[in-house]
Amino acid sequence: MAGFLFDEPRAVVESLLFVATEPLDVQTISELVGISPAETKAILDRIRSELESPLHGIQLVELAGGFQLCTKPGMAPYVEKLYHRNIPAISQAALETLAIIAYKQPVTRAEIEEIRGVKVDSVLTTLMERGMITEVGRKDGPGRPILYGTTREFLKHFGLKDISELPKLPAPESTAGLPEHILPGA
Amino acid sequence: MEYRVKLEVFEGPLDLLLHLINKAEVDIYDIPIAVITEQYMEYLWTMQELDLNLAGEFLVMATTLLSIKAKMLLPHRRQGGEREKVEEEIDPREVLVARLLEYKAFKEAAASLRKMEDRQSLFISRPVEAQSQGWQWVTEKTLGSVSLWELIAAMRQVMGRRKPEPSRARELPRQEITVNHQIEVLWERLGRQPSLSFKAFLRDFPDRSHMVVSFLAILELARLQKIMLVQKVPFGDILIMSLVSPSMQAMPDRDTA
Repeated sequence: MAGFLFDEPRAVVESLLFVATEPLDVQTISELVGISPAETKAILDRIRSELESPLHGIQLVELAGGFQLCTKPGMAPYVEKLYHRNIPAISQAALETLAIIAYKQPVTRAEIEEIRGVKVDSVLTTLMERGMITEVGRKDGPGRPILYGTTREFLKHFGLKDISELPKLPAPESTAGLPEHILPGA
Repeated sequence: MEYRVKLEVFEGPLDLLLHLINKAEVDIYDIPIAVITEQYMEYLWTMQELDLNLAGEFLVMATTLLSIKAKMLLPHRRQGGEREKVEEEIDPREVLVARLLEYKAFKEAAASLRKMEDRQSLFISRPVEAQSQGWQWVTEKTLGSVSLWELIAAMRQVMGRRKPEPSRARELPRQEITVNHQIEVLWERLGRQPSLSFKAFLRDFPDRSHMVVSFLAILELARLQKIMLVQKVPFGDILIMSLVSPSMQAMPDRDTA
């Protein structure tokens, strides 16, 4: 990396962000550019605030544990004249299942079915194929059922920095007050 | 398996119940069980008339509703002893209400996910396809080894690109393609280059049967740990890399593995 130090680090960081199709994390950028993580972070902050100007159509966002350049929301109609999305929308059934996995992970298929009241095996397959969920282990107990969790792709798709950024689950107030023995799954 | 497809439209019995409760504008903690049960049954009849295959879960819920309704019709024994009194206080609807509320919470969570998805769709980043223009992702942030799901997804993409072969009435000479033969083909290719694109490798074959057998050959070599499958970015191309140098070593022997 030493040979690159003649170059302006800010310009190097910008060029990496420009070509990246994935969010780049601070550690990766600092290693690639050969500067400290603190310096990297400072450069990222500077790029971000510069792009905030209305003269720029792109912005720097923090996504799935990294940073990525993307267009500003107002630009979408124009960009879509150039590129159009051909990914099918996530079905309601898949989205509900995904919500349960996101909040309860790691969770088994049976636990999801208990909440949704329907079989979810085909939905799980769809979500796996789209890379939104993954097997994260096995639960102890009879049959050692597979445990599911969400992926980095999930964070990217929903615009989250990390899983803790999920909005709070609408409190099932009542369940809290109900006697233990009638709680679902009890 | 037909009903599963249909089921996604209805979302299941809890969803139908919530819909009925909302429509009736009644308190979820005090569901007029007789009325709701009747409406629920009407939906079930209609769904049956429309010849929609009803999933078992709908019928299980119908039984639950009917049994709650029956319990609520039983006279309350107020004059019982202390112990019975405690039991009486459990409303037969409580278990159902708890399930409904939990389901409702996740349904709302799903709705907010949808909003987040909509918002995120306005932030457009460089499309992943930009990478296929002869560039390979090199940072060490690899996804590591590829799961079977990703392989199948990649396989589907490759096969999807190809139009199904037109059926012709004339007889074609039957061509035997074996996994062993395709292993040799792959091994030979890896002898010439250190890594190979999964898609490019499969795309070279003239028809589906060649592709499927070649896919099996890849799985077999991966199982024998002669090759490694790496995906650098989600949904990106999968790289086939040899773990041993094919030129230095004879063809892997499947039987001794």
